[in-house]
Amino acid sequence: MKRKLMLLLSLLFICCISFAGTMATFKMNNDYSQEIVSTEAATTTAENRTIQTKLKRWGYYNGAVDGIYGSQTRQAVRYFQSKNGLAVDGIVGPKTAAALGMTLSSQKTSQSSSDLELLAKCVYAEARGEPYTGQVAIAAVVLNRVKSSSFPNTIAGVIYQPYAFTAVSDGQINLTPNSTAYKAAQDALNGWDPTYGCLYYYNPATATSSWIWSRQTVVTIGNHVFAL
Amino acid sequence: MSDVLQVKQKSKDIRNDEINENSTISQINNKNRAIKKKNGAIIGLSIATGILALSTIGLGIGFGISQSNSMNYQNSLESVYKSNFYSMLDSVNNLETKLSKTLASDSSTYQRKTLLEASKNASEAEISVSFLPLSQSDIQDTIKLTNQISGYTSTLADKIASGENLDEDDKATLEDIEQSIMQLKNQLNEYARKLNSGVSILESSMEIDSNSNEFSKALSLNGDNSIEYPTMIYDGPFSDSVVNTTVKGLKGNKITKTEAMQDVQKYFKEAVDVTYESETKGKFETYNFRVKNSDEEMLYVQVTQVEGHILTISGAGEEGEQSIDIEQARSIALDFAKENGVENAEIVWSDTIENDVYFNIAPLQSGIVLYPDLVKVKINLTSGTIVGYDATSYFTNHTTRQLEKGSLTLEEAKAKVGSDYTVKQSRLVLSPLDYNREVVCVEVETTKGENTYYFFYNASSGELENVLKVIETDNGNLLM
Repeated sequence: MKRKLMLLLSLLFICCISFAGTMATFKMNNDYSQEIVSTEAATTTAENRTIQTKLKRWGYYNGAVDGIYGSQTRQAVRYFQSKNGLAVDGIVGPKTAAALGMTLSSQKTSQSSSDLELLAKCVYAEARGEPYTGQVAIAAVVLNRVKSSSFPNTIAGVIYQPYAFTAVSDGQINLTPNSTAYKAAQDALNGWDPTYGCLYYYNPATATSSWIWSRQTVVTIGNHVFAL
Repeated sequence: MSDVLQVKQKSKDIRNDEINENSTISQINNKNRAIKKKNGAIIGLSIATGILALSTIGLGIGFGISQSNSMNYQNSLESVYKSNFYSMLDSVNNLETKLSKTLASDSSTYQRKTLLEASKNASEAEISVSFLPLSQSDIQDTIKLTNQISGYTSTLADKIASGENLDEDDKATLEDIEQSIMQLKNQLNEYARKLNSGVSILESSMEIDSNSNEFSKALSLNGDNSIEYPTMIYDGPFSDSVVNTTVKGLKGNKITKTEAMQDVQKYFKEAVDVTYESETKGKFETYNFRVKNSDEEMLYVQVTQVEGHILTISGAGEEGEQSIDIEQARSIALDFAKENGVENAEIVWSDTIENDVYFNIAPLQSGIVLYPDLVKVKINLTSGTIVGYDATSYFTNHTTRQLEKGSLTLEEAKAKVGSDYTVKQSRLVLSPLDYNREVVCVEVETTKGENTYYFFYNASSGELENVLKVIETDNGNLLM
């Protein structure tokens, strides 16, 4: 009887483990998802007046429209946020501002360097263990592809081209790059190209495509062979 | 429970009359415990079975959800692929029509219009095809074809705009292109019919062997009936002539690996260690070295095999307190360029990103700034050393040129800029324009509001050749 019970219990245990395991596998896709960091933005007096006017009109705020971001205004903003499904922090950041139908002056009008971001992500995902030059070289290959007639003509087009980078298919592209990856991407954007126009690279230890071996190799940097 | 016990107790009494009371009670207690144990086991068993059943159901539900999720993902992916496939089909169909119309027409205004439309259709086809799940080896010729047609047709449109007509060669090339596009169109339409009969792109694309992969056959130029690639000779975007540039600035003798090593040691006197790493073949042939300045700073240095110049240096700069200022960095950069053969040069652009300063240095020829021959230097403000150097443009383009200063004076050029721009300065420059064209221009630096603009006026004709706007990004400035 005891043995049977033990058998049953262990069966149950295995069951639970496998269940948890399966659930974990379902969740795997999200492993590389990024954290979203909220930023605190300060508002100007004029903006505070706009906030107060809007909140007053919509019945969230009863105080004076004086441009001072006091506790009453903060309270009204919290109330507004809670009613509108926003993070309740009492601060008018970009999202709350958008919900209020206004643009904050602190929201930079300067161009986001999305190309640099994307390039840095690609470098970090594909070559974070490589020497610095090897990282610049990866970014340079992406930029050489953009220039080449045989590849898409934008950085995003090249990086997200189906089957082009393994880091895109396994989701590592979504990891947050470190400062070295940014520097390498920046150098490549500034025109550094240690590969002199290479369009391909592969790790000879892991490359499986026989086609890639037929390309003319130019240089080996770290673990990667760069080819035309 | 107690009834059962009494019954059992009675039956016991009947069978064993001699057993004294004490022992009977203890035996009853023992039995009692055994029965409790048995009941406990039964309860445990049923709980276990219950949990087992529940977890199996849970597992089943979880699996079901994941299956249906993955079906949803597959369906959305298939829709994206289909949408791009049909867009590509549309663009290729339109492209073919525009090419035929161009060839049918004898009005240059109409030809220019249809050529520009053809260029747009070709570039749309390229965008769609690059979203499709095909390996690079299958698709590269198709992407190249669409890119080159787009570049070629827009170059022809420019030619018409500048007052010329299409000649016989142009028409012959357009006919070749039309033929190839017609074949591609037929392949695509054939696959579209398969799609209508229920074939899935996702499933076709899983077929790794490209010989049996219907999808890659439909989009590739070397499918069942391989499509002839038309030769397009032009100076424009994606033309082959742009890719095959040669090195103009290196003409001397080859040096050996040992000599190159000595050169590197000469430049990096303070290096802890210099090791030979590898050789680069290709447009530039170089010996590559690893230079260790300190534990934190490792540089990768490429020395040209011809003439033995330092071609590139790359390294990540240190982080920490700055030991030099930008003025000191400027002279380090200029000195290094000079030591390395870039003489009579000045800094034309600088930008600081965190701890690194980037300088663009351009050589001068009789007072004209040679922009095509830029040398780029990166100085780290913490270590006060060179962590980046790029002289590839310099050695690719640098020769002594025949330069005409033109008739446009600096003052005349300043007067050409619109009155709402504040003129800061002007100078004579050699400006690299599209596709290997170099023109002597007067460069006028202006500001409007918070923005900086550079205007380039052709020094001979006075025409505006280019406008650059400085775009502030989150990481330094960009020239567009």
